[in-house]
Amino acid sequence: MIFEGKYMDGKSAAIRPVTLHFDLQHVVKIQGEGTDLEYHMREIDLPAPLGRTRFIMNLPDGGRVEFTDEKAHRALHRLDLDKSGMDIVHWIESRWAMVIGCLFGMAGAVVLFFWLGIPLMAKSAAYSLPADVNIAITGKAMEILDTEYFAPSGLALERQQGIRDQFRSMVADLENWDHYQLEFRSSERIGANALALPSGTIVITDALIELAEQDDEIFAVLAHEIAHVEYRHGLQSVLQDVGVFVLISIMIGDVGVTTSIVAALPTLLVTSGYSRHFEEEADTYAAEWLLAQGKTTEPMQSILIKLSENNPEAPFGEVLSSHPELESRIKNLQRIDTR
Amino acid sequence: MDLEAFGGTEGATRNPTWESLKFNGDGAEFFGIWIVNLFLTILTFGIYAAWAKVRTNQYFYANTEYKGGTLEYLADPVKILIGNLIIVAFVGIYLFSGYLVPAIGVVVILAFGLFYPFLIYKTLRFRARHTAYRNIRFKFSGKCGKAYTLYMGYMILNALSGGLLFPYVAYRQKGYHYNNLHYGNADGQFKGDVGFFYKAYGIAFVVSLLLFIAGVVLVMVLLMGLGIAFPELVENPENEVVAGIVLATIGIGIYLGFLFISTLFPLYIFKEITNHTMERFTLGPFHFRSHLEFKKLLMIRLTNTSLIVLTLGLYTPWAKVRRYKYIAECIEMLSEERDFDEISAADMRGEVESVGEAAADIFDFDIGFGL
Repeated sequence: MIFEGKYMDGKSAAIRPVTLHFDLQHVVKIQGEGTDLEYHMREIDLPAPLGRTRFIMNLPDGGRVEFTDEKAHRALHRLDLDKSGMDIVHWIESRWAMVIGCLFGMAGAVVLFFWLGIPLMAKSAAYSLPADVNIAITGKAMEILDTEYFAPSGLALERQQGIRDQFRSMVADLENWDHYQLEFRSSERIGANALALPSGTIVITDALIELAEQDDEIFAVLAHEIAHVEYRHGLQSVLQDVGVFVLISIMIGDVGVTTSIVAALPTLLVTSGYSRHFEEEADTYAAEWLLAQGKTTEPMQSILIKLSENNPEAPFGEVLSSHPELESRIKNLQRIDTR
Repeated sequence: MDLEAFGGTEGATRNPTWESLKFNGDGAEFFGIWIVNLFLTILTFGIYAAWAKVRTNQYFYANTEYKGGTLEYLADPVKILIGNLIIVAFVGIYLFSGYLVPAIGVVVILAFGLFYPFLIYKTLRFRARHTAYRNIRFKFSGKCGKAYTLYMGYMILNALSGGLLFPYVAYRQKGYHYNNLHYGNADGQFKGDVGFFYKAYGIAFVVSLLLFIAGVVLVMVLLMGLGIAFPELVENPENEVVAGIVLATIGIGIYLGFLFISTLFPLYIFKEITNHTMERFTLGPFHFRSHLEFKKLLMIRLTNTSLIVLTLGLYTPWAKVRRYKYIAECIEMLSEERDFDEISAADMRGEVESVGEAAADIFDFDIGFGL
């Protein structure tokens, strides 16, 4: 076989046009003006091709031949004894079906990481951080809530004390029992609701207490909120947000500063999905508490239904009544009953 | 400076010609390489990253053509892998020890600071030595001590001077990169003008500052105007949603505006300094010039960024190719074929490859097309 190439001896920067011959004895002859070389295929290194760039032959004495003849490359490649793994990589890179396969593989890996990897990492990180971090991330949230959303509670003090006693007994066995604190508030804006701050402060509104027809409904709600604190859901959310943010920044990286805050928008969209899992976890905790009291999950179900009827739209995310997918939550509770 | 006249003084028989670099790669082709790189890197838990890096660099180098020859990237992926592992080990130690004893984290950061000039020096060496054109390698002969003077000593002085020394330091650093660069037996020489650096940084700083102030004033006027024109927006809680949307829109507008302003400075500096450096740089018999335009760089940046964000990163390979192609094809080199015959390989003996070199290669940054 005969083909054209460019020979560079590695001693000077001159490019010499050459004609290459090779035969069935695996001998390659390189001939041109002032050049007459002969090598056995064994001595020649044939690096894997890259895109549609020229092919290369590395000669044992530091010389190099570049050529573009595809047929010649195929024939030489067949004779090449030590093929490198990069030839396979090139094979994949240059086939659209394989490239698209890799694209889907990538997408799958990313989705898997978003759905499983990040929540798992956030969870283990949240539990390995000291409990004081929960207080740090709560900051002045209660003061802000008090000025923005809440008014003092109008509930009778004896009633408050009764609920508080029950609340105390519910947290008594927990490791960080002294972090917990129950607050009563009224609020026109959020109506019948309860919420937990990561520091352990749990707020319940007068409207919710009025809405409850039996005390177990109130206690089920409290158990639900205790679970949010106990499982460090607040901290987990923050860590998940950070994880998603970093990952999206990496994905759309290479554009410098621009990405970091542009990435914040998709972060918001992705992380809102995580909270659903936390709600179910908290429901399960409340259900198990009810079962441990020798009751069914019925009070939890009934208060959930009442809350969703009472509060069709909620003003902010963390509150109980804004929880979506009432049906799936009720089903989850029923499943626990029949266990 | 009239480079043509400059070239002509060397001999009556010399007849060098200007020709720009050519970039032959294309986005779709690079997309295949890029996505396979990413996928294999994930599959191998990051090990393939070293091969991915070599392949990416090779793709850009091999497609960069000048007068029939192409650039070559010759680094050994195994060395880069070792470097990667060292970096991962260091980061791991940093994170882990920082968790146990926070003070160690500070020590590690300080140690990294002490290490930084060394990494720059090693990177410059590694890059030059693994770049070849027409089968002749480049070489970087700068001294490590000089890197400490320029990247530590001068940087401290610069901080003390409140940043006034920065253009001078940048000028000296360019000199370090280019005066120590060799292509075979051809030596690099950079005759830059420090006044030019002061002018470029000065203009960039003043214009950015003015734009920033103008932006702040505009935002304040806008917000006040909004309060006067639609007082009910602010006062009536019923309009909370509308007010939220209006404020969010203004917020995003402000953010994008300042983002835009903050991209102008580095782009302008890049364009000015690259054009200046190319013009004042000679490599043996070769002369260079570059005609980057600020408007085109900005357009490329804006469209690339928007498309990357809109496609969740999938546009990245096209964006890289587009930017590289524009910059490469703005660079011209003056040479004649006979010059290349006279270039001979420098003596590479005594240059022992070491793990340290590989570790340094992680610290990857562009020094302007290895020229």
